[in-house]
Amino acid sequence: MAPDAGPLVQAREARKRYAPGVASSGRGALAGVTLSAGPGVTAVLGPNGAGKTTLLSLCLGFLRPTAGVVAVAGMAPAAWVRRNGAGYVPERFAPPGSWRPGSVLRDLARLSGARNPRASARAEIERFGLEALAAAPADRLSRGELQRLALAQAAVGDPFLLVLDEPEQGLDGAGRASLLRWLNDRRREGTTILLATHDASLAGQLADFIVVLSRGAILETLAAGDGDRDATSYVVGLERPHEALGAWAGSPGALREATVRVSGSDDLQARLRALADAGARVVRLRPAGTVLEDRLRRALGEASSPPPGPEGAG
Amino acid sequence: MIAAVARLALAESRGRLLLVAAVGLAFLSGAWATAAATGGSADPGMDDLFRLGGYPLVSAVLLMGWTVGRFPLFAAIALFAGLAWGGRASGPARLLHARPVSPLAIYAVRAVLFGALAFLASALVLPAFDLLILGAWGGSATLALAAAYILAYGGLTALLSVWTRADAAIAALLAILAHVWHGALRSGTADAIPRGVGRFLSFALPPQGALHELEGAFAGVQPVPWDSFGYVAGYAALLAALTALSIVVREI
Repeated sequence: MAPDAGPLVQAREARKRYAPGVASSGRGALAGVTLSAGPGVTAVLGPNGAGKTTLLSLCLGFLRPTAGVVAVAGMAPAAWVRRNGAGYVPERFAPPGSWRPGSVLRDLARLSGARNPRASARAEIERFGLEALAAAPADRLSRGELQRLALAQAAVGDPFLLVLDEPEQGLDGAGRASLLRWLNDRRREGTTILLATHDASLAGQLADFIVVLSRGAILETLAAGDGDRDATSYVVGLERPHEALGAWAGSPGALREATVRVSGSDDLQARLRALADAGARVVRLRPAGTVLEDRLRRALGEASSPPPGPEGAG
Repeated sequence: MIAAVARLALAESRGRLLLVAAVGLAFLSGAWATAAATGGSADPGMDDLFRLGGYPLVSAVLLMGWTVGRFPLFAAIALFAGLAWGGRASGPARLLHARPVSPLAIYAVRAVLFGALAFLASALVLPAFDLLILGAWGGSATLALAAAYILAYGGLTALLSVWTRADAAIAALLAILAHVWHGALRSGTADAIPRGVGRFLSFALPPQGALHELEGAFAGVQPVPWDSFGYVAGYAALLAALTALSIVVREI
């Protein structure tokens, strides 16, 4: 059960600079981030080193901001987590090799305050397809199986704050489907989900709000409207260049291949018929993603461009 | 909560528990071999050993006797290493810190568990070693010595584990320095060192002087010098307070 419908996690001008080590000078990881995350999925997108993991670590109180404020329900994140608990998937999940999914999930469910730890562990084992691996030591699990264990341990106890750092890493199709189902279920229940990812497609499918982070600062914030999620783009290839495809893609002249947008399957059928009527023969048709995903990929492209100055944020 | 934390800790440290058990068995094998080689009689005299294997055997048995007195030190460092979790980013530390449980309670359970296991191993190995090789054991002084070593070096390793992954190596280095320093104090070779520096070293290094007094009681089957034990316990309490403060202050 979520505490209320307002933003649970809030960051105001949060900055984080890592202290200098023995062999390195201190480096900035966040340069003043302001965001609110309430019930639903807030995705944090960005290339490597954008500051996604640092932002998530601040939200759980693992790290403290160098300046600015990060709060969960108005409390210091560490204090809130100590009282309520949170589901957390680390960026690199490497449990001790002798941990076994079945017993570890039962113990973590007990620590998470689950009323029936055994049932909670069993439910997550089934949800993430770990039945056959429940008694296997972690050092025998593949990368994808470990990631499913990482998701299961975050899910036990049904916490109402989930903080997931690249949860899609290493998952196969079935694992990814389990992840999507789980997160959609939790979103409907009003859980606040903070999700860091490189994957524009995952963010596009799940997120209600998307924050594009680059070099420690927010580059763009997008609210996912249903229209954006439904509208899909396709790559259309013709046998020969034709003006009709150019007109569809909004480009002057004849084109042989173009990425075009449609508002749904009826629109797609109608436009393909129009191409055929104009004498163009379609030889290739491939989905390229939703309009939202296109926007995210463009934003990520900007985020990945080289930094203007000599020092990039980590 | 206690049982869950303890089970997770035991599952995580299975390799180190096996290492401690293996070292303990090696000592007991050495004691049994010595007793067997000298005709099965307990408390073999130096002459017996010299006739049997010359200086090398005498030296080996003396060294083994000295080293087994450090078994609690070894067990404490081996089991307390990584107590506050070395692998912060990917390891279990963050998984546990995300639960609605006080981190201090988690680490306290782990410390008590590993301390109890180190003590149990020492309380089996030291008396068994003495019984095999001497035919008698040091009584309560043996247990007091084991407890004191575990308090001192377990506490030190726990504190170091909050701040560095090299906790075991640094604790072992400090143990060696403390042995050398207190050896120099006893032999008088440290007299040339300025008094202030000497006092600082005696305070900052692990309390090996008090541990030596406990060892003397253990070796001579004497009553436990409880004032020395109290000094070690005070040192361990200070380390525990510093460890708790470090856990609160340290980012993970």
